[in-house]
Amino acid sequence: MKSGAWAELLLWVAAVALFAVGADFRAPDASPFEPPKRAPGVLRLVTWNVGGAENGTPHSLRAGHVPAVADALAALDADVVFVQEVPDSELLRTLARALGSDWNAWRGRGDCGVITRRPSVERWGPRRVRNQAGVRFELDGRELVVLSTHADAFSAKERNEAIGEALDALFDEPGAGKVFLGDLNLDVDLDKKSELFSDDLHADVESYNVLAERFVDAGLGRGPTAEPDRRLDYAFVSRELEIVAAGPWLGRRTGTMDHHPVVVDLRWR
Amino acid sequence: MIARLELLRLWRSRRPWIAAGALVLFLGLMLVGFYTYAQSKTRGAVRFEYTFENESYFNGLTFALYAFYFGFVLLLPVFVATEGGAQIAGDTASGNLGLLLARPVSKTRLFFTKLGLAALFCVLLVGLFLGVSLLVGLVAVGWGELALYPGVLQMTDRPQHLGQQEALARFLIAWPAASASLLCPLAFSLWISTWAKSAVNAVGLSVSLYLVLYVISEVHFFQDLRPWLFTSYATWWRALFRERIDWNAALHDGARVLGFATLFTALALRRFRTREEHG
Repeated sequence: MKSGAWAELLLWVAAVALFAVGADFRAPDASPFEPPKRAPGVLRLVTWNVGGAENGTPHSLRAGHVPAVADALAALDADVVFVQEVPDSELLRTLARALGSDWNAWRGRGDCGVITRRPSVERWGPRRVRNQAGVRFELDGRELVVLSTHADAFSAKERNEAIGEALDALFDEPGAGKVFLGDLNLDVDLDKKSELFSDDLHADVESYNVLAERFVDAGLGRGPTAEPDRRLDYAFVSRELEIVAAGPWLGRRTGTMDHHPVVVDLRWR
Repeated sequence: MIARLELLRLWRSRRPWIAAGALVLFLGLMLVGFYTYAQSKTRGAVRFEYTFENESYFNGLTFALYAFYFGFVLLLPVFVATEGGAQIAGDTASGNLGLLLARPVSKTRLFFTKLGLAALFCVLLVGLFLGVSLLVGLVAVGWGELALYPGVLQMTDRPQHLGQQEALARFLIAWPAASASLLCPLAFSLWISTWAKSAVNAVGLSVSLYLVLYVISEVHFFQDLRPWLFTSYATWWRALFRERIDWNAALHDGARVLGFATLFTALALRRFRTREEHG
């Protein structure tokens, strides 16, 4: 065999060897998040945009979706549930009644609401933020402050302002630990061209990093929270709290709903 | 002898000087853009009140990384593909290939000489670009720490900070890693060059195909195609700038990059060895 043929053979062998080294035979790390059974002493919060979209038109929570949403929430057995896209107080109360008589529900501002069966939960929320619902309560003797928001779906500038103002208000509140969650409509995924979805990706990057510098992004690396393949729903947790488990629970949305519930289990460090 | 001749021809082709000049021009424009952007972000013309960008963020290391990243994905592959595309197709069109092979020199030796010199050109070009970027950053902007944020250059998924010494070490190891990445477009264009009868066609086709594959690999709609495209792994060196380097993942991606480069080289050699030379 001529030297050229040998060289070529060596190159083919080297290419195969390199691709074999480069191949990743490990099981994919992206197994869907499955909420664990809640351990004693662990606080479980859930945020869920229970609206949806049909033929490209967004809609808020539909009465027909309430039973499926209630089933999912009952299975999660959360302490406090933060819902978005519920501008109808009566529908929110219907959802709470479907969960049981010991559940209370109220709307914050805009389309945000809270459902809880935890006693002694105090309502709060900054008036200057349009869509929000917040709570404060004592957890193992220390006060926890939680604020949920539903940021604008179409304007990155509006999102930046709403998130910033909500964050300022949250930091102004006294409390040993802080949690900021909700549908923030930001997607700054490492591996996507998110400008296809945002009118100003730079503004979204700014908004996300303002949060990421101050909190731990509990659902980071846990995959998309909304259709199509987007991570829009977040739970940012202050460093006094340990994240026991967190992620979007897939397979629970129904009909034209387009978000998954995001679960976060916490305890004090 | 043949290597010296090829080196002389590369020198006289002026392609290295054109590439170096274009990169210096790019750095100059980057510097103006970086300076005016940093001024607007820190001196009153702030669009967003809630921002992570501040005066310490805009330093020479950040400038060097921005410049290198944009230069790497948009400029360097073009120069490298130009070099690879011009090699064999240019000699075929001018008739020089027949003269070279008449010396006598085997086709295999000529092939590897051309490939070796083009690869050396690629490594030096990357090193020069990286070095000048850091130098310009140091002199014109001033150094500090390297802060990286999610969504910026797609480098990290969480905020991170590298000290100055650590960041410089990362730039150093990024040099061979980025050079290895560029061997893919080089070998790819060399393969095309073995099929083309003119350098213009080979270079045009190589650059066009590179850009098509790059765009496809960047848009996540085509995520099922990504693993099969060499452009998907081109910027694997970004992982070397993370606070904690995942060496296992870096090894996998580096092997894939070199696997593609070797595959294209094998294809190019096969075509070059088996084709008939005329004239």
